[in-house]
Formats: sequence, structure tokens, C-alpha cells
Amino acid sequence: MAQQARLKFRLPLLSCLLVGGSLLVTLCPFLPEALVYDRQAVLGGEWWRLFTAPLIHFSVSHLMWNLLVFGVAGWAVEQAGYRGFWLVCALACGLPGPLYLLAAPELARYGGFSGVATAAVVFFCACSLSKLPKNRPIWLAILVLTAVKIAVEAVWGASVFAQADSVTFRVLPSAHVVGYLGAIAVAFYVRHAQGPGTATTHSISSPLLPPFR
Amino acid sequence: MRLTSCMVGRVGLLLLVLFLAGCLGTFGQRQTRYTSSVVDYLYPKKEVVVEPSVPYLNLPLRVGVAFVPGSSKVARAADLSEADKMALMERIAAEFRALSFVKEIELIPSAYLVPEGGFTNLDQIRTMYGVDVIALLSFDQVQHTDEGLLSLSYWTIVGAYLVQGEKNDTSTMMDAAVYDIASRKMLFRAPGTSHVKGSATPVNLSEQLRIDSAEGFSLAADQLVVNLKDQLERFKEKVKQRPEEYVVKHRAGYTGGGSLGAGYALLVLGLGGWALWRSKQD
Repeated sequence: MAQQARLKFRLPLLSCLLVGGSLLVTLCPFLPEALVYDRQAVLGGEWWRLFTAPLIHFSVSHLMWNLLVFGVAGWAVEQAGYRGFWLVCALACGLPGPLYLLAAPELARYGGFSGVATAAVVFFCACSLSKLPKNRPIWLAILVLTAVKIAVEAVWGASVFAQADSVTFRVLPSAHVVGYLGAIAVAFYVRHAQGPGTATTHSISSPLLPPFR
Repeated sequence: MRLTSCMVGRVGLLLLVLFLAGCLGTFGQRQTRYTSSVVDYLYPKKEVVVEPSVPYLNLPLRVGVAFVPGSSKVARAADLSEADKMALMERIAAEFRALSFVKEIELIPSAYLVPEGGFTNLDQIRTMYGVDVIALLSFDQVQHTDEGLLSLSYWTIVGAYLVQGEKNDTSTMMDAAVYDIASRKMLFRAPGTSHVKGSATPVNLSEQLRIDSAEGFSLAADQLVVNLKDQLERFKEKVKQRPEEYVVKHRAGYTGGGSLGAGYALLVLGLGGWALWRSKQD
């Protein structure tokens, strides 16, 4: 049964939905302007922009790298069957907008999926620390690398990896912080809610990923 | 004798009338005017026509606030002090700071604005301070002083020190005209007016006039700030409604976004691939 479950391919529904939604929004000519976080429009009553802003991207490279990271990480999370991924995505999508509205009056427009992508990467690594212990050093390395990247971005006020001349907007490390902390919190909560005895019950079920146990 | 005393009486009356007339000449209605004009500053040569173009507003805006220098014909002593100007400019600047599309506010000292400097001078300020838009503050203050009935008590000498028979009337108009420097176009303007009435003894008249002057500027600035808020809201609506008249662009750094970048993506994917490869080895 376990072997059958491992070989069964799970459609990463949430990842496909978010990636597809983001691509659809980008391709539709009028949707980006209607969904991007625009402070004045939000204050004017268009509250949905607070939550739809992550679907908006400001350049092709911005879209490509964010969706690539999120797509792979989200697919891995859903294939591994880690619970709580929807909550991670909800937090990473829903928290930055209201936070910027309250705490960043100078920010007029905001968009980008990197907060959610960061959350997906961190959530996968945090969950895998206990469930896929064989590669624990790698998961730890990714978690530390991501934390250092966010810290450096926060201190320098610029993107570490995105080239300055290719970015036409200010990179917001706060979106990554929210994603990072939200993912850690959910992973911690799920682990404790499930109890230590269930740590090995969620195996990777995709044939593309080995049976981590 | 009777004739002589009558003559003396008439002469005395004549002297009294002359003295009163002299006093009225001395203490009669006086007017002082302090003024600075945006038109005189920006368009000193009337024959030169400056044609405004479509303003390109690069958001977030960098806004300068400055007092227009008075005309060279006006006595400089009549101007506001630099400290007063900076205090007033700070109040105006606070309104701009509250706007999300304004990034920086620069208070520009009067020394940087040349009388009749025109847009050439504004271009220099633009280069020096890096401002795109400038709020030019000008003012027109007129002070009238009249004597009331109580001024009769001045005859007692003591009355000139104790009785406030001088009636002061101070009318002030302040105006903030906001210009896009590059396009030479006035974006909007906001006025503020005040009317201060006061009284003083002849001895402290000049001091009281200064106090009234400062109060007049302060009250006019209060009203200007209220009008400025209103005009800023109207301007935001106007920009949205007339995109052909105002081109709005977003400067790099104004729009914020979450971006991971190729380096991070490749590094994480590489590490993930390595983990996958390690697992496959088992």
C-alpha cells in the first residue's frame, strides 16, 4: 500500500492554481492594473488589491524567476503531502498588503510572488528537516541561505541576487520576511499538531522524488 | 486791553489748531506694505513668453518649498526673517510629507532664490536640490494704522505711554503656487488670507505692528494649509481625469516588489537537485 501511495502522482493543485493564476493575470492586459497593490486605490475602497498584489509582476524576469522557484517548491511540498501549505500561501499572500497599508505609506505600488515563493521553499525545507532527515544539511543550508539573503537585503535595501539594473522597482525584503516567518510558524504548528509519531507518515509520493523515509 | 487779550486768544487758538494739524500729520493714517510676487519672480521680463508643456510627474515626487524673493525695489527690512520663513515652510512641507507620492521635501533658503530669477533660477535649484516640483510661497501684507478717539489722551503725555489709541489693521494674503519646473507648468495653487485688528500706544506701536504682522502670517498660513490639502486632493483627481494633461510615471524605487532573482532561484534549485540526486543514490 505504501509503495502504491508513493507511486501515485498527486496533482499539485494549489501550486498549479497560483502559477496559472499569475500567468493568466500577466497575459490579460487589464488585470494587472486592476489587481496590483495601489495604495490610493486601496484607500479608495478597492480592498481586494491587498490580497491580489502577489499575482502581479513588473517584468518578464520578475515573473519567471518567482514562478520557477514557487512552482518547484510548491510542487515538492504538495508531492510530499506536507499539510498546511494552503495556510502558508494564504499568509504569504494576505499579510504583506495590509502591513504595507499600515506601515509603509510611502509605498504606492507593490506586487510580486517572491514572498509566497520564499514561503514555499522555507516550508518545504522546515518540514523536510524532520521528515527527510537524510538531506538535513541541505535543508538547513537553504534555510540559512534564505535567512541571510533576506537579512542582507533588509540591511542594504537592495536585492542580493536580482541585478540592480534589471529591477525597475524597489525590492521589499519585508515580503520575504513575512513569507519566511509564516512558513516556519505553520511548519512548527503542523509538526506539533500531528505529533512526533506521524513524522514519517508523509512520504514523497511522486515517482520523480525518491521515497524519503 | 480787551483787544489785546482777544488777539492773544485768537493767536492761541490758531496755534492750537496748527499744533493739532501737525499732530494729525504726524500720527495720521499710515500704511506699510510687505510683498513678494510669483509673477515678478518668474516673469521679470514681460516680453518673454514662457510656453508651458505637458508635465511628466515622476513619482515619487521630490518637492521643494521656497519663499519667492521680494522685488528689489521693496526694502529688504520689510521682509519676513529667515527663521520665520523656515517655520512657515516647515508647516507647508508637513502637508506634502503626508502624501504617499511625495518622497522628499526640501526647504530652500531664500539665499538660493535670486530676485527676478525666473525659471533659470528654478532650473539651478532643480539641479542643486534635485527637486522636480516646487511650491513657491509669496505674500502680500498691508498694515494700516489710524488714531482713535483715545488718541486725544496723548495730550497728557502720560496717555501716550498708557492709552492704546493707535488702531492697527493688518491684512495678509499668502499664496502657494506649485510648479513643475521642467515643464514650466503651474500644477495648482492655494491661497490663505487673514485679517488682524489690534491697538497700541504710540510708544510700542512698531513692536505691536511686528506682533500683528507675525500673527497675520501665522493665521494666513493656517488657512493656506487647509486650502492646500483641498487643492492637493483636487489635483490628484485632476491627474486621474486628464491623463493627456499630466503624464504620471513611476520612478524606480517607488514601486515595491518581491523579487528573488536568478541567482537565488538557481542556487535553491541546485541544492534541491543535489538532495534529489543524493536520495536517488540510495
